[in-house]
Amino acid sequence: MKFLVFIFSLSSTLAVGQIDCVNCPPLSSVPLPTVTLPEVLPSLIDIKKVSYQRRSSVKHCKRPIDLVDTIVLHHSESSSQNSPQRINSYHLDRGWYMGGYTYLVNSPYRGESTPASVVTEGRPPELVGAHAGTDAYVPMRPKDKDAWNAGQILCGVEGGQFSPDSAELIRTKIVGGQRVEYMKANVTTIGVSVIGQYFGNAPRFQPTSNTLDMIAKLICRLQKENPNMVNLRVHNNYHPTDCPGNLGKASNLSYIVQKAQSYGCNFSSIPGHIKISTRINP
Amino acid sequence: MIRIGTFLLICLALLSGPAMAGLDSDVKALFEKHEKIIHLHQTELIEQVFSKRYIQDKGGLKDFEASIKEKPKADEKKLKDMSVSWKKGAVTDRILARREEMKNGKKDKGHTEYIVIKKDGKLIIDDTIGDAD
Repeated sequence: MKFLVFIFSLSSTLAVGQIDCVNCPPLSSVPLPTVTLPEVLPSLIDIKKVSYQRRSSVKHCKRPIDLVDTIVLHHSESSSQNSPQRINSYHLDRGWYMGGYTYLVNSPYRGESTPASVVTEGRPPELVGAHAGTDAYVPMRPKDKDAWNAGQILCGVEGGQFSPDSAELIRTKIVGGQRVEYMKANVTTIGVSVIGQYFGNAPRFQPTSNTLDMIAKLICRLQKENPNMVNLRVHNNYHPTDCPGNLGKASNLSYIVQKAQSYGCNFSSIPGHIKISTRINP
Repeated sequence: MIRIGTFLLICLALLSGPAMAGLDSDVKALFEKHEKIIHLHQTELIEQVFSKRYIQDKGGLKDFEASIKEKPKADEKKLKDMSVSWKKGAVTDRILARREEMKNGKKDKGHTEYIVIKKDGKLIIDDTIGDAD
């Protein structure tokens, strides 16, 4: 009973907004403590997670995600109606560990309403992907060398021991009398693939502003999570291919970069077909 | 024990050899038709070569035909400038066929990989997949 009376008196006091206090300073003069809250990143775009089949006996490699400085744009060159799981299944049929792209974008062709627009995570970002080209290598930066020497880039199979695998990832070339070490471009990049094929002049195969905007939001979200990701490239910067078709047109890349900028991100991009890697036979 | 294993492997190779040879000629025949469609504009072969799903993704039969015909028609010599290799899927029954264009006897840039399936006992192209790796 006494407890109920206490609750009643407390609530009535709170209801009138004052608590009896002798010699209390007025509320406005009490300095408020400064609390630093963690920055809440605006969710530019949702990234769906799904489960994928994997081939546990196939070798794959792990890397520290902060080594990734480049996002490479692809198109899957397949039906636009494919699910990420279907692309994964195609890559499994190639004999791979799992799908090679890190993110997959479903978006309808111009004038169509399906598939639903959605971004899905593919191969986990901390795993080296399979997208830029097995023969595409880039010079090792000091931080790549540090990570390599610290044993942070490791290859192995599920359930087995992971170890450094220079035969898989590292090449050396003599350039101008200097010994240059190269690392597989897949280690320092992630692959973003738009599901569909964007070849040809037909309006259907020109990416819509919605598709380009989804890419901009995705890469900006990735940059906010990992500020090292500052370069936007396309597949044919690494490999002699027509991928990513019309997505790699200078006007479309410029649109993506400008959109990303409007979301607070900065990316450098270069036109398609300008080679930025060295092809070394695996 | 090893001899039995070797014997079984030889038997398997002997049994699967003719089947693989048959499949090989079927894949080659499929891509000969494919080349006739793409380079000689023989679009009446489309439905023998591509699945409904594939044609639908190209915008339907009419749009697909139009997209083929917008490219210049080549002469029959062009049909020989193409190499097809294939393998069975590591996980499913699909066939992954790689078509590469040749230039002066050398492989030209890039390639397309075709997803080939068996439908009603015949091989048919159901999808393609990019050359990311």
